[in-house]
Amino acid sequence: MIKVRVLLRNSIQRLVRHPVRSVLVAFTFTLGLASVVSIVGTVEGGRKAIGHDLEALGTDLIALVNPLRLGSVAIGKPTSGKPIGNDHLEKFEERLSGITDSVSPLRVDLGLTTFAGISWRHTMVSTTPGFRSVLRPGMLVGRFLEDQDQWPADDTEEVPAAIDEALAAKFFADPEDALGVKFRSIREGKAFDSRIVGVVSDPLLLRKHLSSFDATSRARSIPARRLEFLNLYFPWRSSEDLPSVVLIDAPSIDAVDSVLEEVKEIVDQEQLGVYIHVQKWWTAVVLEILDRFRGLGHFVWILNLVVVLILTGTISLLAIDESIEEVAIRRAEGATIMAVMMPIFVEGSLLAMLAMPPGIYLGSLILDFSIQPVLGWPAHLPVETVAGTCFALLLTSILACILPAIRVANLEPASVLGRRRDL
Amino acid sequence: MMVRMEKIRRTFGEATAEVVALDGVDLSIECGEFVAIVGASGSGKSTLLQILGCLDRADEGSYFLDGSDVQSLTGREMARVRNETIGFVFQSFHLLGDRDALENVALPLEYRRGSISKTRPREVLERVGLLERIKHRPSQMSGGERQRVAIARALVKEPRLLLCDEPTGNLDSDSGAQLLELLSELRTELNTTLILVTHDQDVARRADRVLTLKDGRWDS
Repeated sequence: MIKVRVLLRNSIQRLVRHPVRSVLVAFTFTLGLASVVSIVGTVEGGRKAIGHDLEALGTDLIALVNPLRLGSVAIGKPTSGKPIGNDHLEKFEERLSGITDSVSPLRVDLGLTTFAGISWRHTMVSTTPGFRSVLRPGMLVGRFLEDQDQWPADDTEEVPAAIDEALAAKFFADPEDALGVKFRSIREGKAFDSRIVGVVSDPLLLRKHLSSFDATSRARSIPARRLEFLNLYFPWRSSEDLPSVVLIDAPSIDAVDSVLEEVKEIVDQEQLGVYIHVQKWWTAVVLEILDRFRGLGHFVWILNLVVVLILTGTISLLAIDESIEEVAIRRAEGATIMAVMMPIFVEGSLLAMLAMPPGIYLGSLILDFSIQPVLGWPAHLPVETVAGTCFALLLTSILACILPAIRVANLEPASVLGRRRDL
Repeated sequence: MMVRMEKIRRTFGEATAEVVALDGVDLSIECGEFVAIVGASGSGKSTLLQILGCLDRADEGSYFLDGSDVQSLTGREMARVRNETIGFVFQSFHLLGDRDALENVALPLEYRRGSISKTRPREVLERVGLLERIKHRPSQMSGGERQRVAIARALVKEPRLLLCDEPTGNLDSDSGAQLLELLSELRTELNTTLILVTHDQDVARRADRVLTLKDGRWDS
């Protein structure tokens, strides 16, 4: 058996002594890896970016709608049983706390707000501070309701509230001017004052984002059906408010299914009669197309490696033909078949490893300067995918050496060394 | 007994185009003996040398080398015999062109089990008078020097059997004579069995025994 030190030294010496072949093979590996990296980065980046956009449309939301409070709205999966009460809310929060961003109850009422002689009928929403996670970054001026924001015990005191940009625009030229302003409102026939602590901007995006929530309003009055997110948001009163809707915010689209399983289990256990609306199902077609796109990426990934395999295999085969006499001499001097085959595999592996850093770097450059500006989404290269690609390249380099190694194994030193055979 | 062959037969080619290279050859050689094998081109002497050197196998017959049955050895075991027992010197040298003299001589030790002194290649090169050419590549040496490197490569293994296939075939007469003198000295020093294939009767005359092959059989 050849010694490892000798094997490595011989392999490196052969790489150095055959620079053209070494450079050609390493270059092929580099280009192959770069193209694979750029394909993987594009596909994964595309899925992430589009997935993120879908999340912004509320695709990571699950809405539990209390049908008894909103009528028989034909959305989601109907179940039969009790409506969600405050005691159930605690169970949902407890069971889902580790796997969701938030569990937010929403009570929706119609109300009237007046400011500077202008009055508007609009929806009023009571919710918990967890609802903040539903609002995407950049959608809030000021702040949302927090734990310290409570409905005051004294009716004459002001209620902290957040306002939708669209409603604020009814009273101010610049919606942000509503910050800190006191409004006079009527809800369920009861008048009270509210002080604005935050403005929720971009109502159109919010409307898209909460389309499931929006849909629940269709069973209500005509103004509510035309809900344009002219909302005032008030703190949740656990002693008085009952949820119309419970919004469950999963951390990502991919996590929705596992969260949903848990939700269904709670619904079954508590015998709740709610409509379960999963926004992700509305966008399932897009996600499916994305996954097919990803599958196509993997196919091209394999195709690339096959091309690299054929190219490097051919180069290695030609190189072996050139050094056939050396192999015969080594065999005559006592090398076993394995001892002459091993350096071929080691050479291939070394070249593949040498090609890895420039291949990944070149692939990243292609992503940064060619693909990203054209497609408009940032590349995404998961570490495990890059590691898997490098491993696949290493495997390819070994596979590419099989034919040359077989040729070496079948070589008869007597016929090579005695080419002038005269019997 | 270093070599014992009985009824060795070796053919090449398929049925109708079959060529018989060796046809029932018997051979016995004692340890330390110097045997020359002569014959015309196509007589089968190179084929015999390759079978003797474990580079090829006979189709029929038995071959015992230093008491062990070569015909029953696996490929790996034959490689080990080539590495530890047999040294080769070829007519066309068969040196690695991209290695210097020292690296060429050290080549067999890459596959050697156990240890041989690291200074052994240098010592052998010194013995064949090439110490000053140690870093020269084959292309920078004369034919005689190349063949001396080849001899050094064979001797570095401390072989019990040295096989030379027309070692003077590519050398001028002076270089050839010097080389034969060197081989003769080394055989005596190392008590190595020397089998030399040649078609040159002058070369053959230096051997203890001369055997002539004709059409794959001994010519008596």
